[in-house]
Amino acid sequence: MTALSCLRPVWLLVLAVVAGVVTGCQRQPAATSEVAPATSTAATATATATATASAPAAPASPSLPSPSASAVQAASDWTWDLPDYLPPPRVPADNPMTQAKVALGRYLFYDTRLSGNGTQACTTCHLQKLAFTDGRAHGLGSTGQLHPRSPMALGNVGWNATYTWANPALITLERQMTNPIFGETPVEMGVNDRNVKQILQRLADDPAYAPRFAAAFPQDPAGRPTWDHIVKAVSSFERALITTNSKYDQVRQGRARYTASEARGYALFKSADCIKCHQEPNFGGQFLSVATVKPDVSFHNKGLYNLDGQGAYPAESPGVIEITGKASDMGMYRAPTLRNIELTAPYMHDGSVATLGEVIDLYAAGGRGAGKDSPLKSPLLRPRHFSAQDRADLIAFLKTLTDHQFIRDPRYSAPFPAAPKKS
Amino acid sequence: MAFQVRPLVLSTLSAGLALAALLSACGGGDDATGWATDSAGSVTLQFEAVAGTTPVSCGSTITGLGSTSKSAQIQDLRFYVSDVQLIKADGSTVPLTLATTDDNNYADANGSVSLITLSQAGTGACTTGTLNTAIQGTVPAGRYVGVTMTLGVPMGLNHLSSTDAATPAVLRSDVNPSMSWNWRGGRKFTKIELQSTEAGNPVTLLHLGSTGCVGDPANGVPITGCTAPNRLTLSFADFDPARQQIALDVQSLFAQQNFSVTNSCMSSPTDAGCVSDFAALALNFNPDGTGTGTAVAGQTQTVFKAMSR
Repeated sequence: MTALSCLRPVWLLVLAVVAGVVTGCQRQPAATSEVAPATSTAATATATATATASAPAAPASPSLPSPSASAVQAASDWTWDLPDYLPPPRVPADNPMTQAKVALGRYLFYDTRLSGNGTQACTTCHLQKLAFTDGRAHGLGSTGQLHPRSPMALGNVGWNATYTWANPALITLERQMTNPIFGETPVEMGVNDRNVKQILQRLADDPAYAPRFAAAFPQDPAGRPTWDHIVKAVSSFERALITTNSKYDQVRQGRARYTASEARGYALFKSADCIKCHQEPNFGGQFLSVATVKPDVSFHNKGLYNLDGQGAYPAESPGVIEITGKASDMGMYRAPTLRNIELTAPYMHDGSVATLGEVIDLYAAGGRGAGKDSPLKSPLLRPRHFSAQDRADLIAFLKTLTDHQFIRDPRYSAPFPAAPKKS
Repeated sequence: MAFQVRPLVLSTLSAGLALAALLSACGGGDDATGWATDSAGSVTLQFEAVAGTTPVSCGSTITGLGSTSKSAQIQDLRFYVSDVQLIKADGSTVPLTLATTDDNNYADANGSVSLITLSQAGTGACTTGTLNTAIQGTVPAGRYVGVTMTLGVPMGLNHLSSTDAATPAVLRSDVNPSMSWNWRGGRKFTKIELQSTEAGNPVTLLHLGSTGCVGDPANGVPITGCTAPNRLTLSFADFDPARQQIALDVQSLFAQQNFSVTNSCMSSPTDAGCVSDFAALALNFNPDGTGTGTAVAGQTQTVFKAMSR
């Protein structure tokens, strides 16, 4: 890592700067809100010190809807170590990144005591070796209920404008996390009225946690576990799951060269419109950083289903329409990141496509089955002729998005010693 | 003249009216209609669950439910009530100031909210809930004729984070976890769940709440608005809290549901299974997703009603 530092401008996230920019926009008219982040854009091209200096452009002391922003909290001591083409993510003003929160969040992410029956942790469905997916088409909850959707990868997840596959009501990791914890349909972690206090007690009963909570949330020196602090710590850990050392990144930083096939695949990825939804540098839609002026919060219908000739998707997972009720939102899903896509099969929101080759075939066909004729299908989905070589080249390029360091990085690994093997 | 009239008046008016007139005179009220508060202006609004006119609670076997007249038990029965106001004889309204801020009540500049819980964990089929059957508060001492309130959580409170320490307890996940509607960015206004006694104990439920809520990622605003607020005004023009209570009639709410199968209405804008529940509440709903979630003009909800205490 140190050897690479010279190639990566270090992003120092100064709490006051980002908090000012983000919260400053909340009550501003649209025109103003587009100005504030633009200041950051200018800063991103230069150095950390410049970013700090240009911050006062943000409006002063806006009134916040959330009173918690005034709570005493540790100032950010976090340094974003990112390549120059990846500006830092937006971070909620009331949950600045700190080393101690990320450290606590890592323990909690891997702690099965956080589920109602003590059998599941976040990691149960988000395994580091699979870029924090689980290889399943449908997530499996702590009480045995199957989720209609497939667990999503978590690398670079802090840059999403909205969370889960299709939910414009969830714009932060903090809000997203309450779903797997408290969700009832389906039950995931299974925290409910009956066990909600008991789970906090489980953590309080472990003397190792109090100092971790106290370090992460100095406003409570006793280090008592609360859901507020659990959610903020785990969200901080998730924001820290940075994947920026794929071959794509190495090539972009001049540290590696594509093979001929990979280079052709990259060119085809762009010319065949894949990049329209899977945009660089994060290869997903809805990219939102401190430098974003106007985020693209779009969802797409990929022609996977067309049950009624009018584009209907299966009722158990119909897409954004479930939230908005708009007929045109049927089958609409967020374009997830393609970083580490080699590791995150099966594909699509419902895991209904097994391999990368089949994904490419589906797109080349302009959809799947009757879905090809869906009136709601994205116009980008249209039949395209890919030769066998094209297909191989695209797969070769997609595999350059795998970050082998990310899936072995000890900072993201299970912090608890492995359970002793039963003999 | 007065000497001749007075015995006639006493003989023809009810004792209650005479007493009311007397109290009105003492309290300086504007007329003799309605009922009077005590000198402190204390008001207690009592709630209960009924099936038709029969009170029901956890452990009761409720008969005659739904389109096929089946039986069920309460599994969960909770709802949020906000913006309680007392109605005066001239039609004007006076806000009720909640007596306490606690795990069931909260008020600030963004509105007031109370959680009514008519289910008790450990009784019958009820596994969650601790009874909280009344809203207590104060109004200026005087005479009133009725009460009005909103079923639901006000917009200014509904979308607060469910986990933030600063969020009022009544809306927080560590206090009332299953009233949070995290995937919709707000709260369940009602969690009404009946467990049928039919084979397999299928559940009939209504999770009412604002839908079509979306956020603004560019500006970090969690929820900017909802296309279907699904808040319901409950107005009782002639209501005396000393003699009456507000009853939630599960028989009327689920009159069209078939209790032999699961009936799950989570207020999804396109859920055809919500049509009859919303009709009973007189809330605009179209299963094509175009429902406005506002009161249907000219119709009156049939689920909540004033009944004798």
